[in-house]
Amino acid sequence: MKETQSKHFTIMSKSVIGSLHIQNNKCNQDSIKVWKSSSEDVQSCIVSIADGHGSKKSFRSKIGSQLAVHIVEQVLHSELLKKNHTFSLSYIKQMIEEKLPIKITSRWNETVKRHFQQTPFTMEELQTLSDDEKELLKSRPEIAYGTTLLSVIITESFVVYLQLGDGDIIVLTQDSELIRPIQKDSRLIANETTSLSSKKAWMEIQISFTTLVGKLPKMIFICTDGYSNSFISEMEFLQSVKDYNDILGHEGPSYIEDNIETWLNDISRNGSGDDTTVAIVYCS
Amino acid sequence: MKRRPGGEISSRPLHFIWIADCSGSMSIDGKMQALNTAIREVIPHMRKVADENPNAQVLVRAIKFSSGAQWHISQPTPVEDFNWTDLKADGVTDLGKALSMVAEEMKMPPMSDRALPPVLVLVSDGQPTDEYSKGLSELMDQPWGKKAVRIAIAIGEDVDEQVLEKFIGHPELKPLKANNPEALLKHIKWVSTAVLKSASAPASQSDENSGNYTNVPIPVPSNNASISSTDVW
Repeated sequence: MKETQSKHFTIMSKSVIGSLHIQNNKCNQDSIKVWKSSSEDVQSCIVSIADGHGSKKSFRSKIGSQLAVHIVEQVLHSELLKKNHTFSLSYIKQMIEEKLPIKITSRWNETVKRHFQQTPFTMEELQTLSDDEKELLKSRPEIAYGTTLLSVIITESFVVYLQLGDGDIIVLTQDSELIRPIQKDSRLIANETTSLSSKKAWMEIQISFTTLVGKLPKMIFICTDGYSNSFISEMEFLQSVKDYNDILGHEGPSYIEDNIETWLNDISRNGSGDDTTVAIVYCS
Repeated sequence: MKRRPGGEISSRPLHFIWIADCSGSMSIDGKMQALNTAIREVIPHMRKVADENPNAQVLVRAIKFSSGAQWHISQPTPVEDFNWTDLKADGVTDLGKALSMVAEEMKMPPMSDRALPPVLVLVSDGQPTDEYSKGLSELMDQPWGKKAVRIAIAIGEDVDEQVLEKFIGHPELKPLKANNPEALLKHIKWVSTAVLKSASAPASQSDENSGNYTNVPIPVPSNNASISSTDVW
């Protein structure tokens, strides 16, 4: 497990391959990327996870998810951290909501198309596809890289939550209340998800902007759907967020570091069978 | 080691529903008995598929339709506990009523958003005698109804295949034709093993192209039965 400590928060993240993927000789389709500021004075971080579809048509979705977490970090960094913002928060919020989705999706599309041009699909990759599916990929190779994306950026003055597709972002407030900054998309059932590879992906990106007044929330919990789908109900899943907070408060990050891989493997094996990825921003 | 964070975990529910025609014509030439035999015979095969896919909790039930519709086995039953009670044939063919009742079960709740795509298998030998399109609309109005794997098996030559095609609602799937008990068993076995297996472990799919039908990849059935000298229906 990776642990990154800055002045004000601790970031932990872990991903395990799903038991179903082990059975089917597939690799872990999930990806994680964490960045935190090295400055003692400026607290900021970007935490991103992505879940490659792993379907027959999305045979390069592991690459797609890796590119997604890299690109979203680059875009968030360049748009929100490197720029010397003298604008009002309301202007920044508007800019984030209007421009970020297009920047992220277009950058991802350019990158996967470049990858495809440098590395065309092989016969082996295409052999299980129908003629119609092969035709589709000829005109839209990005489908082979399809992935979801979840990202959180914390700056000194605001937090931005960003989500495309399934998965969960849960915030534990200072009042110990659990909230979803981005509401669940009721369309996403039956293993269907919105995707970076969709034609109008930028329209599907959901963003929540929160100004920081006082302290950060106690904890921000981000996970792919392999984790949340393993719990028998929403309540049982949300309990895990509270439990992680309790453990961090009593036993500390190293306890989680020592045990999280075992926990996630247990969850995947006895639950969804899917790749299971968790990232925690603990704001002590 | 501290207890794992979070509450109870479990495999994801996969609802498998037989929708069986019990109209009077099913009593002719042993069709009803052939269906009863076929469903009973495939239960061990379904259990094997479930064992091989432990992350799906296969829950089976059955609804029958003739004059009206009733749940034959109403409780979603874990496949390891599922046993078949013979259906009897009598009455007309109120398919619409059955589809309305299945639509009720596709609502949330009782369905949950963590379920796997349900498998609905319609078996019929005739033409609906009620307003079946109303029941079908009610089913398709439910997101889970739309995303379900819908398969239809046509018994004999008097089936209205257009109705079955509308139920399936998939551009590449056609009704499976059974003109004798062996073909019926073959199709029943295919849907309760190959299709069940596919629905048990579907990968994520972009929602872009799924429309009104499932995104579960359906395996190609072995050749759809054609007329042969052994055909009795």
